[in-house]
Amino acid sequence: MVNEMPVFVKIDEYKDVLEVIELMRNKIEQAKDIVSRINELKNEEDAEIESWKMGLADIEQKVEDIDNSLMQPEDM
Amino acid sequence: MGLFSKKSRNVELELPPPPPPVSDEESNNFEMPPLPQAAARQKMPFELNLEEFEKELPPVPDLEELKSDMPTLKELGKNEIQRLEFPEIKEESSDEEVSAGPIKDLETEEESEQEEEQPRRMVTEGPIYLNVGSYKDVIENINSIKNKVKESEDYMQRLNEVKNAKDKYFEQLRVKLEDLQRKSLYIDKSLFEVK
Repeated sequence: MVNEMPVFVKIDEYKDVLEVIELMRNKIEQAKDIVSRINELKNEEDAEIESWKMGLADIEQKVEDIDNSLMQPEDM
Repeated sequence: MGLFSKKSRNVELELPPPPPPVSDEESNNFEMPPLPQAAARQKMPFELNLEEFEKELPPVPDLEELKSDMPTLKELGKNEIQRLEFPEIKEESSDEEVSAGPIKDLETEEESEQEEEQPRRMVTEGPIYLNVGSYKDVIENINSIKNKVKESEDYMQRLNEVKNAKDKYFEQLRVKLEDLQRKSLYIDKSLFEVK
């Protein structure tokens, strides 16, 4: 019979706990916004790196062209 | 002000004269004028020749042959006739009843949902008493949150390491590009400088 009796725990600072939970919610929302912004920055960075990569490939091609022009001079 | 008042009409209309009386002999001997067949034929675009028209039509099937081809009702039997019955239309069984109530605005619905959720949390002054089971759940959730926060700190540390490594690679890349620029200037100077 004793086991079936409900047992309760007294919580004195119930209101303060609720306020802290609300603050935690706000902090979680702010953290989600920051993660979203970091993700946007990462996407922009990826796009810039891709453009950079293409620019380097262009430079490489130009260097090859110059090398070919200098190594195979036409007969006068 | 008597502009729209009804005017009195005392004008008497004259009736047409009645037709002359017709005797019985005249009514019996009355003959219709002949139909203008010649004029009608001239107006027709073509003359219909029935014999030629019948030749163009498909031949009429023999009714006896058709009867021999068609099965009788006895030959079809009851099963064949039952198969021709209309199929049963199954009613769509849906647990949710669709009501054609007034269309609510989404914002007002959200507000109403929030209003419905709010009464769940009752802020009372002073202490409250929580069931032991619920208290255990709360403690477990707090421990879980602590672990997640610790994991987040680890993720932040790893991201910081990645950022530092990336900065290092960017610095190396910057040096290489500077070298490249210097070399290209040297080639430009060597090729186009007039001595």
